[in-house]
Amino acid sequence: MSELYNLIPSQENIYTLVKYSFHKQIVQVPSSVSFDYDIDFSLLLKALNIEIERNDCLRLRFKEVDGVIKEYFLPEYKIHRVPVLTFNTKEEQEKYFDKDAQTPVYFLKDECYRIKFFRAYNGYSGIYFNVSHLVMDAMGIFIFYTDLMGVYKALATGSELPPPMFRYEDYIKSEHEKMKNTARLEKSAEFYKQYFAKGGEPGYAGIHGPEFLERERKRTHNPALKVPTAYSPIYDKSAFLILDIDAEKGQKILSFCREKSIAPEMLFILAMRTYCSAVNYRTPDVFCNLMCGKRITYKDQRMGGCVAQTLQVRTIIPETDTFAEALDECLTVRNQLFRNLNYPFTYSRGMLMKMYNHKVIQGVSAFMVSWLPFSSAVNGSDLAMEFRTYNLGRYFNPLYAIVFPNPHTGGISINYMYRYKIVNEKTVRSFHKNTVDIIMKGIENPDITIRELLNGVTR
Amino acid sequence: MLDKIRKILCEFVDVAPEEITLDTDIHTDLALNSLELVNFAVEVEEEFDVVIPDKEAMGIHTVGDVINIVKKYMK
Repeated sequence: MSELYNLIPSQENIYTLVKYSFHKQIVQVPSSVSFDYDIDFSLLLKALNIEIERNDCLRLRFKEVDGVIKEYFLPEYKIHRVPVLTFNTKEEQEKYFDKDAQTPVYFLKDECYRIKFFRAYNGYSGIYFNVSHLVMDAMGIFIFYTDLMGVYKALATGSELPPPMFRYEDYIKSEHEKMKNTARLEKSAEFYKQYFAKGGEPGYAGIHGPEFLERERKRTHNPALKVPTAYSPIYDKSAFLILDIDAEKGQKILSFCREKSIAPEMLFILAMRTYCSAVNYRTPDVFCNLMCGKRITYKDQRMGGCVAQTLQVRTIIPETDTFAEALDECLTVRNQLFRNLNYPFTYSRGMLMKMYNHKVIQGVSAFMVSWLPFSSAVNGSDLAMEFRTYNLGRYFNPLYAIVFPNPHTGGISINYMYRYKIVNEKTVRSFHKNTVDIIMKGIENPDITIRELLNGVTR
Repeated sequence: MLDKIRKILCEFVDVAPEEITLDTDIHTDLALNSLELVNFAVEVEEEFDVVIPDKEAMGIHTVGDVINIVKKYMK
């Protein structure tokens, strides 16, 4: 057994979520990847055991010491059997994996992940993987799938294994070191203080429009209330919807981002926040969360683990701005947040709550977005593959949009998980349609104004 | 100064320090993305005790540009 470590800020960020739900599955990430060829599952099991040696986060374990969660690494272990499932229909497959996705991964009881191999209803074969979010973030999962399939391919063809992975344990040590840099933390604290103060108390501009906030104002007899109780540990049931952007539009979006050197998540944030503005009395001030990974060095990009960081993106954009100017503003905000990436989310959220006397259950973020730069690299070839996440059944945010290039369609896929107590399916579909419309109008004519885009929003 | 910048860049990309020259383009040759670029700027700022405005940091192309900007803001 390795040294015992405290959780790093990224893991604390995730673990904090259990404060917002009584349901432990909200700190896990269920996903599957499947390929248009027959996987030899006994060979894949061998590859998995090699992966456990290579990818140290798979050997991560947790225990509670005096009420504090600590982590350590097992030196080794082997898996002797992985269930192989066969599904005849899409419904049967989804029902099975949804059920598993909604069953907690008991990371404090040595169950840090559940893995299953499967033959899919459509002839594909693949891997279902439900992992504690303290062990891996979404990119960590992508890196896991890529490396595992690389090892599998090497075993199948007798070729060399992929280059070794870097150790998450080293990252944990370096993160604890970074937290000793008090000068940098103080500088970031000062940045956040000014960031949250600029424009006064931020207001909630949810994707469902102002009715939710208005109800809260009536209930609390506070007509000036700006931030409602967006989090509820009781009414936290979530629904799930996968909506796609077709290949033609998807490729246009990705080309625009490549040509302009723009991170796609900021394009989506601009469009999504514009929709929220449109349905909330056209407020110029919209607040959302961006979940990103702190994979900064080349070593971080060949390493498993959880390095997630929630960034609180507040954009105040006047209607007179053009799409290009608004995008520039979003990028400026994002760069400022990137500069302060080492400042833990738990600190910045705590600061926001203290500045405006918010309670833990009050949430100003309208939605949360993640961009995953998936590619067919998982497959190591051009053969078709499918990737998706699953409904946790419970969630804390009103809506979480996981956006990624879809190697199966050539377009872009958005997996929406939303709390149906406050957001309904019709709203999510409208949000999606308008998001895509705004992006397409903006990239085709960057001089279009935000006012024109707001005028074009339909509910 | 070049050696220090090389050392910082080698944290972001897996290249030998001697391969990095004044003409190396950090976008096209080293393929730094926006997250890496911002964090590279932060590391350069700490190393040389300067503050580089975001707009200028995002406008950097070559390692030579980095050196010129650092010299411009050095006290």
